[in-house]
Amino acid sequence: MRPFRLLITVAMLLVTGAAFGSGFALFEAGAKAVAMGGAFAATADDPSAIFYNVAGIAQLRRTEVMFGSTAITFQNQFKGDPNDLFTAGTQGGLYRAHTFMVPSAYAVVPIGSNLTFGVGVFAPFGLRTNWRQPWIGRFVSSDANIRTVSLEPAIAWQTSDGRLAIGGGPEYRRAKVILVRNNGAINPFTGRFVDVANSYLSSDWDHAWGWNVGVLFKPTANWRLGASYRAPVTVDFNGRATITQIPTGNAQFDAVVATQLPPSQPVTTSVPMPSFLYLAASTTAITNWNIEFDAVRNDWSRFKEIKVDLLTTPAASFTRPQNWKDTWSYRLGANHPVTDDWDIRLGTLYDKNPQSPAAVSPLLADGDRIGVSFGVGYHRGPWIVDATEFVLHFKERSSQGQNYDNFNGTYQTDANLITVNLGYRF
Amino acid sequence: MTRIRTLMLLLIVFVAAPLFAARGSAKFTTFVAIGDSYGAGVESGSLNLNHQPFSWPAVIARQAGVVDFQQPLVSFPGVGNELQLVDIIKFPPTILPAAGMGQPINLNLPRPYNNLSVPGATVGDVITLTGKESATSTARAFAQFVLRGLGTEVDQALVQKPTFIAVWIGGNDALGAVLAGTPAVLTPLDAFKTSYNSMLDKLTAGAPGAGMVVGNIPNNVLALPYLSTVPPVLIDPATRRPVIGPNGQPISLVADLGGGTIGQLPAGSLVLLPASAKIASGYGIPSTLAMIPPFNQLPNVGKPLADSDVLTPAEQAVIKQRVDDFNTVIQQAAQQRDIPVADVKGLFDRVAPGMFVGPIPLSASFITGGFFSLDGFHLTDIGYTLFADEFIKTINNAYGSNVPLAPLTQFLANNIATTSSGLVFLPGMPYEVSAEAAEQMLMFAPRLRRARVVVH
Repeated sequence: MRPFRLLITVAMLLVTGAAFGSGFALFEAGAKAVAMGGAFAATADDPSAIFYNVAGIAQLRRTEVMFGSTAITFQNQFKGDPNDLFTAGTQGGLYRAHTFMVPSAYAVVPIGSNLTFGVGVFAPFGLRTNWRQPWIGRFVSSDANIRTVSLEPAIAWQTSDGRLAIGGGPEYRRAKVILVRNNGAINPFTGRFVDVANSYLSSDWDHAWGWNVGVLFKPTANWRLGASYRAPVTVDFNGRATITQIPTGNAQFDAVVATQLPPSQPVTTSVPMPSFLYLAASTTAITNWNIEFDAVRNDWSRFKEIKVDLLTTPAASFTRPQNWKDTWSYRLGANHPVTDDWDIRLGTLYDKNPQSPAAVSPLLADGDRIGVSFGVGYHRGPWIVDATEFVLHFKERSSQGQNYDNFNGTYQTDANLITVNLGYRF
Repeated sequence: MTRIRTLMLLLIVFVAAPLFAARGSAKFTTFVAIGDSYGAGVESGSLNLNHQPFSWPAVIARQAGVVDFQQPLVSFPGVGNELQLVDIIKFPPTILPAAGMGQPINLNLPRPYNNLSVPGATVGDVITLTGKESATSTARAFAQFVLRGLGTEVDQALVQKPTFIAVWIGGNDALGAVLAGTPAVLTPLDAFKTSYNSMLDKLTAGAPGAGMVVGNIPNNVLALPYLSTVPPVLIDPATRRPVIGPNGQPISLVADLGGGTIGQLPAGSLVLLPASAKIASGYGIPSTLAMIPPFNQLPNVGKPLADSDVLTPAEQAVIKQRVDDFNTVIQQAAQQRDIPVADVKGLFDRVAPGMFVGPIPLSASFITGGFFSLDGFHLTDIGYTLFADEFIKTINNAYGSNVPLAPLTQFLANNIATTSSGLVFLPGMPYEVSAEAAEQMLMFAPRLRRARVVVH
């Protein structure tokens, strides 16, 4: 006669790690760039170049500040896998309505005629998937949130004829991760699967250093070539797992559960974030149009696994495979001055997703993305205002019955992004 | 262009054609089920309407959209009072039958039930019992109010002119021996083969256009908590760990190993769940421990467990072999008639080592496993739902139909207050399994002490 053990496995009690998408990279660092579909590493002619191609700030020969924000909203739906014994027949499952704000702020100061100093604040990664309850996937993830903010002092230098520019800078990146899920067990009194605990893992704001370099070359009057590289950064997190028992209404069952829940405790984990490589070309061969094409590579293959170490009960530590793939995205954008004061911009992008079907989960169900953007720019005297509307459609994505957490279905996601920024040239 | 069109056509033909040339079609206009206590939805030693909606035929009917699927419903606490978990804090846990008396609810249905499953029925019973027999066995007692003298399971299925027939029978031909602790009561292979083929002949002749599905039988005797819960070695009630003998090994219990040979149980022996109450009073504990506390407090130390309390490895092997032979019969009989076979054995094999369905952990553990109910061998609502899903998958594969799987999300309680429902329990000694419960478990279906009361 064995002692009474509930089937709450240790792994079940813990949040799995972060898994967002192309993951969870953001490129919403400036309204003009977003309006051009993110194809901006060759144009790079406003202070957000610190993010897209730092060499671009060498072109800016006036002191300039710019700040803004992107508001991201999601619409999504989960459908159960008809061949899955748990999720079959499930229709619906939505994110809670909320708006992510992605901030950015930049200042550039030219020195002499060749050098420009700059400093930028931006968010290269981030995402939140917060599911509306009751959500049948809450035992995998009910809320997952990763936030980053980077501070980058930058310097760029251009040749006196302006045909070649190079730049670079160190990047100080802070990040925070929050992961929430419920834990369940079969209540032997009722034969029903009930929520018995909530696991809330919240990291501190931890940091790591990276760096960024770029080059911009203008072979002819009409053509520009740009390349930039932002180094991969792995942030090691300290945090705390707060495990809160959820009463089920049955005192005996609750008492047994209480003896088997691990205590709230400090945890450590780490999130590898990939590099960005921009390869870009733009042309003004068509009068009054600037057209740019960028290919952007993220080496998401760094994201092999999530390892969460529990410090009080190390036996409960766990590793979860992710095995993401490197991705390319392709971006095409145009800027067209309509009057002396007004520009209109158009852009489109195709962004391959890095996830294998097994990694598609309520934490993040990424799909190949197709985006279309439209924006306007207004500049008068020292003032610059840019505004962009950007819609992003994720191709329907299925876990194909292979999900690592044994939670299978099809996800549909659409995102809407509005970016606005304000600049001032001294 | 033409070639592409031809290819497309070929593709369509291949995709549309079912992989299995099954007889009839998967139309559920009139759906009937033939079976035993699993088919009836017996759970925790009881047939009652809290669980009958989860009998595997009822789950299939619900998923297939059958409108008027009738079962012989019994009010709570059922025929065979439902075993209730009373105390899991104490060791060992207490399980007692709920008080009260169940009553049939739709005994006067003016037509045969769609679910004709008779608890306790063997393959032979489904073509012979009509409900007119006197209640000398579990199956005969249940037949009185499931079949009501209107004919056999097979006859009553056919008289409804079924469009689809689902059959799972044969469990009692094998598991009866498991529960009795002896292979002696296994149905002989020849008799099984004759009955099974006769049953299918009658069904295919009587309903030539009907779709059909049958299922095989689990052979993993270790998978039943009825057998896996009580270890064959002496446990120290204080530490809950095996008592270690002078040779550094756990001390095997003593039992009648067959034919009156008394000896220590060989490794790999299984002790039946109801024997736990006997062990608690000293049975099976070697006489060498008679003077050693705490065993010196027990009155029956030194007396062996009965042959029927244990299954030795040799007995297990005989049972397993017979089940394998039954499955060969089922496979061949079904194949000859183009009837698909649901892999029930496969389901039990997956549950045995423990598995997850979504976030839900399931195993063959007693009480906590989530798959087997409190009698140790009938299934839970979740278990029967997975059982039904095994049939649905088989039907869809064979017929190209799209009956939706019954998902386990329906068992998420979402934290609505869940209590043991304020039930009053019969007074009784707190064995791990009460004497009454144990008695009920001796048959593959609950004993029908009150059958005659409820039947007319």
